[in-house]
Amino acid sequence: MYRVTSYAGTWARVVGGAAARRAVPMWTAVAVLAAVVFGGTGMQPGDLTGPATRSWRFGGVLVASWVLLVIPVGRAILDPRGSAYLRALPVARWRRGAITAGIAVAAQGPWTLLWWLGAGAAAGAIATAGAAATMLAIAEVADRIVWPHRTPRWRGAIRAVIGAHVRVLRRERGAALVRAAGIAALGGALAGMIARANQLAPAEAVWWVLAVGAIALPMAVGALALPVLDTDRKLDWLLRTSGCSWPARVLAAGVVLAAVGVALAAVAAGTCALVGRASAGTAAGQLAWLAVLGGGVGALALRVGAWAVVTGDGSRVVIGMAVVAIAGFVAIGVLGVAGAAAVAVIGASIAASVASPRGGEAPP
Amino acid sequence: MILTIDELGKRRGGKLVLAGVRCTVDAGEAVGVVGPNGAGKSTLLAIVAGVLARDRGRVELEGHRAGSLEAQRRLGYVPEAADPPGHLTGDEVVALVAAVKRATLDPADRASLRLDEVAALRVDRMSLGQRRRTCLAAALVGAPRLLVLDEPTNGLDADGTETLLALLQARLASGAAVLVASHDAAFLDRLPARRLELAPKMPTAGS
Repeated sequence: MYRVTSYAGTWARVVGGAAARRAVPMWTAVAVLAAVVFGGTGMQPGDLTGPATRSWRFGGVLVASWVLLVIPVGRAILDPRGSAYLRALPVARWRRGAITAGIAVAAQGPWTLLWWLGAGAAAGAIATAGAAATMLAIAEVADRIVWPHRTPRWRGAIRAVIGAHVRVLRRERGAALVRAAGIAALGGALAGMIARANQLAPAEAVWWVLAVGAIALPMAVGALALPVLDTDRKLDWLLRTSGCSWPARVLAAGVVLAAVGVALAAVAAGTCALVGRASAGTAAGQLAWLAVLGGGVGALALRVGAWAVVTGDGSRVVIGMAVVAIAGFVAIGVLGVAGAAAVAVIGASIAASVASPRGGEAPP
Repeated sequence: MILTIDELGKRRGGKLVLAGVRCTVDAGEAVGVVGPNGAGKSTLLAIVAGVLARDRGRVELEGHRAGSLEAQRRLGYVPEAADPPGHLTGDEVVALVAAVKRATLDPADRASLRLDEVAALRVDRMSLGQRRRTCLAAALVGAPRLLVLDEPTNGLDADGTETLLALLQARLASGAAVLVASHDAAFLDRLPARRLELAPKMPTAGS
């Protein structure tokens, strides 16, 4: 008995630790979004869960957004680091499975809370069990996907460096990408919900999606800034001895982060239009302005990430992107949609300054 | 003259690592940098490759300052701890360098380094020898005028070392130059490489 209890505790710590490392940033992002939505508008949890049960469109977007957010947690739970040794020990698989299932349920915390407060304990239990099962099923399938290998045919230094960054994001930071898409989708869905519940005019609907995007996009993009800069650092000797200039490397990293920002903006605009039942004109306006905002946020993420790398303190990404979020929110509050353009212009200017410490092509 | 090093000096962490180093390397010539651990062999090679700044002196590749883009395009470098990002595959590492240099890897070099074996393999799943072969392939892209290799035989098996020797001898025969740091005296003898001996913390003159 002692041996099994001890094994269960060890397994719970290994799986729980892996889950916590992925879940805590996601929970934090959801908490910030919830503060904006429930704090600023007077909405209640029932205002989300009610329409979600009545409208397949809103319900589907809400569930899909949440599942996107928790898939990385599921992948970490199914294959936690350092678990091979524990798996090799002669202990019944159902014991490990039960603990893993318990942790998968616990990872749904904010989702459970939303449905419990919005629709009651039974709905909370059903929503939690369904989300946990879906998360584990998708994570299990995702782990088995083998991407075909193709030899790249890059033309020019900038395209090649962009290609390398894209590969690191896809292969090493898939969890962060999926989580970022989930945050963007959730932010867009909430903005759409606000527009629909309050029957906002098109201009007001655009303003609202930008306001929510100003908070959601920095959180989503910020998580990808350090991986991009880390790749650049690892490529440093290879790129420098091959004759790749520093401005080319900055441009490549900036293009990647700006593209990520634009892509996440498109996700947010899509869920916003779907949930808010926006007209084609309103949806196009939301997409255009969100894309401008997303590009600017991506450029600013490059500068913030570089600041964190230079100081050797990764937590500065959190601080820096929080400042970007607040500044963007204020800019949109004061300037309206022009605030998004201001973020883009300022972002591009500031990102270009990353080149200055290294003095262009000079060696360090 | 492919490489000129004149009165090179370097301090790292307040310690004198290189002082008054002089050396020239002609076309078709190999120079082996030797000396005990801490003598500054890797530092010297990193300065020549342009990844480390010198404190004083002059380092030029065919008249271009080490570290300038013109110089970088003329060299291939493999550091001792060559560690490209683990998420890239073997042929992606080579393709990246090829795209930056706007050059290609000679198919004969690709075949002799058995790059096809590691083409689809991620760097973080390669053995030390496979990683070393991948980095050598990347260094050979564009047939550089100067090859700068830091302990190139580390991690290579006997066949790999023979392949490397043959590759370097072919490059020397084609008029390129090689600057190599190695503890493997037999490898340097067979190349053959003229010696540049460095001593720790001592001002040292080369050839």
